[in-house]
Amino acid sequence: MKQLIKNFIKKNIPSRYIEFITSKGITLTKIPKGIAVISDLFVLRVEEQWETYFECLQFQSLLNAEVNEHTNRVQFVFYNQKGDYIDEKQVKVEATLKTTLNVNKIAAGLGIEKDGLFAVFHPYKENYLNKFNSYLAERGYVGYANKKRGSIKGFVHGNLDAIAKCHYNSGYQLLGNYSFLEKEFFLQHDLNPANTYELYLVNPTNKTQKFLILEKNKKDQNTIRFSLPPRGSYKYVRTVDKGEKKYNIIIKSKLYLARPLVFKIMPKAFDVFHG
Amino acid sequence: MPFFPLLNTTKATGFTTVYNFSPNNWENQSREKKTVWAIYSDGTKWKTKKLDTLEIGASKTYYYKNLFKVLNSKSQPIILLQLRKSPLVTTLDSLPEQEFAFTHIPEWRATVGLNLSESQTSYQGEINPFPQKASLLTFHPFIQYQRIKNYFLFINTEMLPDYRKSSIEIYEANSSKFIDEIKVFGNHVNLIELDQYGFSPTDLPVFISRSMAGIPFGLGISEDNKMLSLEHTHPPASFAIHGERFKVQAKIKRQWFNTLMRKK
Repeated sequence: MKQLIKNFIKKNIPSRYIEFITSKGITLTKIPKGIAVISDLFVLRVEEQWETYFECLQFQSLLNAEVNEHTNRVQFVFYNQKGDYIDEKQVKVEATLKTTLNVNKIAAGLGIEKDGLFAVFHPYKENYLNKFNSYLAERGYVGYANKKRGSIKGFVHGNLDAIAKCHYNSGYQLLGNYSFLEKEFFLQHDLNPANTYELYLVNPTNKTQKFLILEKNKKDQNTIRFSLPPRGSYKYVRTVDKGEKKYNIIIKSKLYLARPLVFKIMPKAFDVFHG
Repeated sequence: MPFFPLLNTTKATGFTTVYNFSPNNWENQSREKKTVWAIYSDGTKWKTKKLDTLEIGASKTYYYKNLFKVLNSKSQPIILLQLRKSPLVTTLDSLPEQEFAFTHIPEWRATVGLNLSESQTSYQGEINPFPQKASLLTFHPFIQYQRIKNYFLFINTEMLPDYRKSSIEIYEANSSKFIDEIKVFGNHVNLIELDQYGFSPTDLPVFISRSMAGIPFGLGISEDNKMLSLEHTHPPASFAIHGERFKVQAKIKRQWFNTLMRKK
């Protein structure tokens, strides 16, 4: 009963109203309006010789160890940096539990040559997740490679349960919650000298969001302002020269969790992680 | 009760950067000076060491090799860093409680990483002690195939300081074929070399422990030692969102534990 009440509140009352009663009731992700499968909005890097790979796992088999059931195809949906839908493709996957997909190739086949976002939707299938009021969620793993920047892939998991594909009408619903009030996200990671940092921010809400990035160290302070439409993405770059003081980053917006994907470019290697 | 892990391996050395500022401004939190303590186990007691006091907004990086003797061993004791107000006695029978309010969206985290020559890899992490009656099931898609060495890293910490013994069973998930069983220790960073098993690109290694939980990672090191890659894998609950997802996880674990038990 308690779970049912919790679900009812989560489904029907936006977090930004619950927030006025208690911050403990805030949820980052809305419950989809109907039967759906969910995906993160993953960052696609194709510019500047970046390559993006996706480790596609056979969820139906992983959910049911005793049943050898494979999906033949998963759906990739691509969005540009302004959040506009570009195109989608049903991508064939192997009859094995893992298929490594070269997302650059899939994107190139659709004429995509710019960085943006992509979602991965598995086919909907009725199973015990329904009984537990849960939804299948693709959270990735994405591998990034760049031969100019480093000799191996850097892996990172998904960051946001951002978008739902509804089963009955194949429509999409953005799931990110946001507040009435501005929030600050402090990146708990120092931007250290001799490295370049590339931060990707994503808007998983159904409303255009204003962002302010404040970069500061002991000497300087700069601000960058921009707006991101729904499904939009923004790349912020900061090179910290040798001899400069380390920088810290604060991101102001109405998102509860404006957590960026961080690429740290070192002289001979790179690293990727979530803020 | 967040602690910040400081890792180490024989292949790359560990560092952790601790921050005395919150990741957000809207959850209940303690804005005050905090003292960093290192806590590590000798197998019978937790030993403690006061490190520094961090002003509000400050951060500091700690290196494993500066705090603990580096062992030439596949399993190395984990060091836990904790932000504290009151001092600790030099030995403890159980990990200390936290003294500050920390955030949850996201969790208050440290930068936890590994160094090798001029390269670093890190994740934003914290660790809470795992109950002794817990288990692990994780699928591992991180193996890379060109000029790279692949490892599975498993870290555990528990309230008590014992170096509790357990094991990790390795299977290939498509065939459920048993591959190996490796001894691991509680309150340790355990490293397993994966290239010896010859996993193919479509294989999906699955790691299970029936008697210990922890955080599993894929660690990749380029053969020229110029680049590292570190990322944790998810527990099965991550396949689902909303509702009773931990019941989903329990069901997935039960099925896989039964299936893999029969194949051992």
